[in-house]
Amino acid sequence: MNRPELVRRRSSTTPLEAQRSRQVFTVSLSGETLGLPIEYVRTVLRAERIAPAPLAPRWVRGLINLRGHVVVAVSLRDRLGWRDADPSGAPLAVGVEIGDENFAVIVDDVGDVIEVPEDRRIASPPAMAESTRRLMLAVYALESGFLPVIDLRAALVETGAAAA
Amino acid sequence: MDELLQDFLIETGEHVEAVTSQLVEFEREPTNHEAIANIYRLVHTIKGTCGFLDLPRLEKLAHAAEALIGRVRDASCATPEAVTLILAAIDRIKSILVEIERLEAEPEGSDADLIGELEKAATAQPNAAPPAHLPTTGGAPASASDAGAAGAATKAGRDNAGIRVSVEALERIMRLVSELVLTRNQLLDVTRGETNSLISAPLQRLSSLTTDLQDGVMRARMQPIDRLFSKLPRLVRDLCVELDKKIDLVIEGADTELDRQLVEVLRDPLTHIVRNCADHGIEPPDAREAAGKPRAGCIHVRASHEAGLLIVEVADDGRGLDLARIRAKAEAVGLATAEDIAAMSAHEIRRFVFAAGFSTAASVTNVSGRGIGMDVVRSRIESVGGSVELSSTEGAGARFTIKLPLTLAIAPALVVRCAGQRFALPQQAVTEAVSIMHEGSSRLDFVSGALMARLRGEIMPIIDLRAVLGLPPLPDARAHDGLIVVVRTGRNCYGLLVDGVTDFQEIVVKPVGAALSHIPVYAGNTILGDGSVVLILDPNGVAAAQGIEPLDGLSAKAANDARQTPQREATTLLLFNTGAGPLKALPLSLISRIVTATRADLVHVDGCWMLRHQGALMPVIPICDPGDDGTRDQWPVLVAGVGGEPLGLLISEIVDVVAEAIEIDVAGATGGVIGSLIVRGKPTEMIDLAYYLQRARPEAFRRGHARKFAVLLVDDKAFFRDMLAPVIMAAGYDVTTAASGAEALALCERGHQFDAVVSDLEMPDMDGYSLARALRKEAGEGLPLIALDAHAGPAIASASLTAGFRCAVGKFDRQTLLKALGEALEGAAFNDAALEQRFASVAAKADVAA
Repeated sequence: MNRPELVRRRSSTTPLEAQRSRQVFTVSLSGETLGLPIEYVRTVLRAERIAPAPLAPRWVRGLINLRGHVVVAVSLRDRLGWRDADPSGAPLAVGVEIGDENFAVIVDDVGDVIEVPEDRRIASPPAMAESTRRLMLAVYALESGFLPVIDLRAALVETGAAAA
Repeated sequence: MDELLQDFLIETGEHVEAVTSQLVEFEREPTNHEAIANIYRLVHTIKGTCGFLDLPRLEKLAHAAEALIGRVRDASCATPEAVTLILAAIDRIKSILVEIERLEAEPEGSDADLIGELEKAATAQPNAAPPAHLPTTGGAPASASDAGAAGAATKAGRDNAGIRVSVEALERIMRLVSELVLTRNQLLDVTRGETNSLISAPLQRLSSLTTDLQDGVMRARMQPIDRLFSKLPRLVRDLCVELDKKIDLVIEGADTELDRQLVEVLRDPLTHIVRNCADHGIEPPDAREAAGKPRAGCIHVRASHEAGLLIVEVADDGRGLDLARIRAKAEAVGLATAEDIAAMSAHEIRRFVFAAGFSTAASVTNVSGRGIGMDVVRSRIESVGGSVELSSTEGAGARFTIKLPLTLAIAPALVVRCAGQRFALPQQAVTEAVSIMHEGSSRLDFVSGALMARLRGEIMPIIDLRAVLGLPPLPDARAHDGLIVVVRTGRNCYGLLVDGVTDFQEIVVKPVGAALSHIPVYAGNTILGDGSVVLILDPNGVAAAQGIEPLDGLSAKAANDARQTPQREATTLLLFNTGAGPLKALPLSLISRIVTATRADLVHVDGCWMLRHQGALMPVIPICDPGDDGTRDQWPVLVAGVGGEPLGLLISEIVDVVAEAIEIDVAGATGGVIGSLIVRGKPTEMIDLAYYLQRARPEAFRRGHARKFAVLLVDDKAFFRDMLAPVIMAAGYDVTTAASGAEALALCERGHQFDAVVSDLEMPDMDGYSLARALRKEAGEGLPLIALDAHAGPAIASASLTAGFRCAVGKFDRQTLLKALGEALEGAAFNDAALEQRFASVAAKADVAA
């Protein structure tokens, strides 16, 4: 997959700095801001022409053809178990590559690449739903609010058949 | 990894393989001096390289092996112990090489034990063990040596003619070609309609170039199956030693090529099958000699291409499959019931060998019981779209036939439409597609609740793809204007119900991702020429999801049972003439003897003819009138009747005796004739014996019209079955006969529906009363039961009513029987409420009866 300018910042981080902060791609879902670990993020796309996959878990919306690759379109909302409705219109998705598997993670809106310092990391807030907490790598307390960072590997790949 | 180390690993790996196969060859042919010299050279080279690369452990081991090999070479003899030792050393070297690859350095460890043995054997006194040129594994068939000894020589030759290409590079090329194929498909799709476009000529050229390129790259991925076969001589050799048997190995078609991926798929199954043949198939030499076979058994391995498939056969000339033991084991393990097993063909019994949890070995031996079982063999092969079959002749041997597609990467597929979505089916598994509607009526029918289709005489289960995928169902599949795609894999045969077929293309098979891999229905996904993504269905997965039992289970038999109308007994008929007029027939079982009557024997008494028979006068009905023909003096007389009152039927001549299932076409209009039927192409009248038996009653019995209800007639005596069945049939019912209560219940259990049951009361094993009780329990109140008895007196009548019969009828009282049937069935209602009422009353009765 292409690596757009989005990830150019990564190369500018020195190893020392990398220990003290992490780069995260922010997205918004149901008014909340979530973070995706930058190492898996490849691109942003509009998820159109999703071919449905009957019998798949609820959070798997179907399959998309992305420049010749078959990409699994997943709904982050459904994967986290949040029950509110999708916004209308062709969904926006973040193209993610984990190992040799490609996913299009459907979100409400996309944000930007930001750097979160590790010293802002906190234990997950008590108000967080269990279904969300299970899939989090870490939570950070920023000026703008809490930023949970999603464990994409756990959410998408190591699911087995027993995903929520 | 260090490039030097990598090269070393590859090269030494090849040497090691060459040594192994050559050593096995040498053991069979100890006079082959060149072979042993070659082996010595190879091991010497290994030793040298190890020293150069500073791998002391390997070097020490190679040195000890070299010493023993040198000894063998000089003494020009190979004891099995020596060869086993050398092979053990080679194995140890192999495992160290694996470790080196993993660790990129020599692993820690000591081989002192093995080295000790090797040194001991190398310096042993020459007379300690007799230097026998032991033909341990029987003769030396030429083809096996082709695979072995020639292998090393030609490998060297091959190296010079070719270059090494890394697997990665080849994979990359393969991927690019796949993309090219897809893009070509897209272009073809886009320009489909336009025939005169400037683009079409170059596009055609591009298309055929792509096909050729695809072909070429796939061939590059192909490897000769010798890769697998070359391991077999060593395997068989070890098995001979371990099992103390003599086995020859014959290999054919080692240069047959197959896709790299498939080599891996085939590796373990092939090993397991060969082990199996050696362990369970081939008998020990003494047993073979006793059976008149050569002492050495033979395992014949053959690879070939056929109709786009790779065929690998492994055959042995051993004892074959012991069907009795398989039957016993299948029953013991609970794979099928005793009755079902008894009804299975030999082919179906053999399939049990592949069932999970099955092994007839009294003890799972170390040789063939390790790790992988026959069921895993089959599932591995089937997971790539292949099949494995087993045929056997008891006493003579068994043959495994494995069929595999030549490649997995690109496959032709059928694209089907279902509920607005599209799916791909591997064309390999599809034999045809037929429309649901056939000459105005649907091919589909519900049989015992399951949807089935009739196709040219074959019955197959129908799987509604909508149901499998959880898509919105059709209101009535049978009225649907859709298609049945007939799917046949090694294991399953069924019709897949879809809306239509949109396309047929070559697709690049991509595995589904982790998110969908747990769904057995999907075999992969692909991108079609128009860019859309479709899922590829797995034919076996679809069947499993729907609960269709594979054919090694009982579904074929069950399906056949369900669809067959119960077979009418074939009745043996006596065909005869009675002067002018059509042929006449009478069930032979009604006739007790045939005598010849002369004019003198016949007397006309009281308006009736009589015959002197066995000291008494027997009434004779002249169906053929003796007065007609003055010249004739003798006539055959059919003596019929049960019990004490025989009756003779005077006929003109006997024509034939045939066995036919009686199907009365036209009910008879005259007394004395039940009806007409066609027997062997000739119109024939069925004589109504009962009519003549009761000739005293002048009125003929009524024949009413009734709907084609199904009546079950139960009587242990063929005489009454043969007598009454035609009568009931002629009245317009469908008759099935059963010779016992048990048989009647079995028919009901198998799902045959009857509208009424007419049963004899006095039967051995299960009398009519017990049958009635059982039927009431099973079928509830709604099923009319009529009792038959020779003398339907009041005691019988009340007893029958208690048991659940509607009424009791005399066996010869055909009028009452038909009247009772008529009343019972005409009164039956067929709406749902009646059904519910029956259930309710059964539930209530269940408490009482229990």
